Amino acid sequence: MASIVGTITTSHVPAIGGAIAKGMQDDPYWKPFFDGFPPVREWLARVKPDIVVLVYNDHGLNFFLDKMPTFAIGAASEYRNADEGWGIPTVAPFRGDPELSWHLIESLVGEEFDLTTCQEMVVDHAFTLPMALCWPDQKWPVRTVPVVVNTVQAPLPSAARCYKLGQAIARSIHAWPGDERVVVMGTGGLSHQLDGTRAGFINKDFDLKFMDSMIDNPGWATQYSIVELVEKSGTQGVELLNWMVARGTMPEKVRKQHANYHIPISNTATGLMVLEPAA
Amino acid sequence: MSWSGSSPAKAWSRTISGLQLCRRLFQINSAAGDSGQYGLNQQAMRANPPARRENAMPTANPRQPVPGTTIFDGEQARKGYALNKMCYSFNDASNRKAFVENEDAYCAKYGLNAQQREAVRHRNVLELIEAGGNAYYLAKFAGIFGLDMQDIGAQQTGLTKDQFKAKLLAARE
Repeated sequence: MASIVGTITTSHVPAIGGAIAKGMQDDPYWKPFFDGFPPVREWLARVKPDIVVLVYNDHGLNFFLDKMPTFAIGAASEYRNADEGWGIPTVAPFRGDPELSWHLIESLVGEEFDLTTCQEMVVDHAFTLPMALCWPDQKWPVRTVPVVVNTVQAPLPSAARCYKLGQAIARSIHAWPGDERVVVMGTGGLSHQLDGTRAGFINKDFDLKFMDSMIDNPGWATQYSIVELVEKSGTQGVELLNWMVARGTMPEKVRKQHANYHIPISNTATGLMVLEPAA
Repeated sequence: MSWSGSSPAKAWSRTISGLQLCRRLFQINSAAGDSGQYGLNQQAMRANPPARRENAMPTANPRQPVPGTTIFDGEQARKGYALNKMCYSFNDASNRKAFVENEDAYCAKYGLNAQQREAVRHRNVLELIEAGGNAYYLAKFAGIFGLDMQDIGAQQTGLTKDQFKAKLLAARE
């Protein structure tokens, strides 16, 4: 049976891509953010994953508002990124794992998570940047399965629903007959708001409570409605739903391997956590 | 009065390229404090009372309970469909170019309504949101002009870009 060796949850601000392209990792503005990642790479070198299931939200690259799935999953043998409007650099394609994708689809739909299946999918910065932060040489040593959560157009899935999706993903992976080692990533957040007269809203107190809850009280955020999450974390802070999916794939008891929190990158409070199942 | 639709702006549009004009209009706030090329725009901005921003402020609305925030729901999605569809097209560099080359024709092609067309003309983010624009799609529109999220944040909050950055830093406390 395949195993989930841990989760990586991180922010995915587009500006990170610009900083990587310009080699600004040691720039004083960027250093506190990029310095969060060497311990993640050391952990990855130790746990040697074969597969990354990457949970994120599309920002209007693969999905437009003509068809907006609440949950979608990639089932392709390869995923590429593309211009999102700023002429961002393209990166090496990511290998997919259609067999695992279809296994996930079968078992998730079997558990009444009726995802949209995508045999073609372009992946945006919310997928590519966390990968590039984990593997800066951009020679991806893993196969990937993208899972997309709608954080764009309300109604959004609740935090509780996202957490349960994660639990169902975990059951499915554990039932996979292969012996692969899987890391689940959840990207986005933490608190930020790009739009409205409340633009620039950041809530450090909420973010730190949320990060603490990821360790020993994983259902904490499920007490909040989406509107309450917007109020507490900003219109784009609700991307923490992707963290909830990732956390749901872990057992209740976890060990924190690493964490980082920095304000601000662009308009965003950035968070980073690596969790492992507690033995 | 509209700071971007004012007669100086119209006069400029005859003398500078559309793209330059866009940059100037959008960067009105971010360049505040700089008495250089954006000076005239700043005056236009200062002369413009904050009425527009107040108009865009959500009032007590059970559907939009978070102050200063428009949750992008079905009502917004319906209202903003044409605008967001145009912004979605800006994923493609050739479409960004086509917009810059002939903005009127490009907006007409996507069937923007009068409110949306004016908001686009004004490069005013709060107006664009009011017209149904979604932040993730509007970011692609802003990208045409090389604007970052601090430019956009400054414009919406009535701060200079430096003031907006200071606001972000203050969240560390």
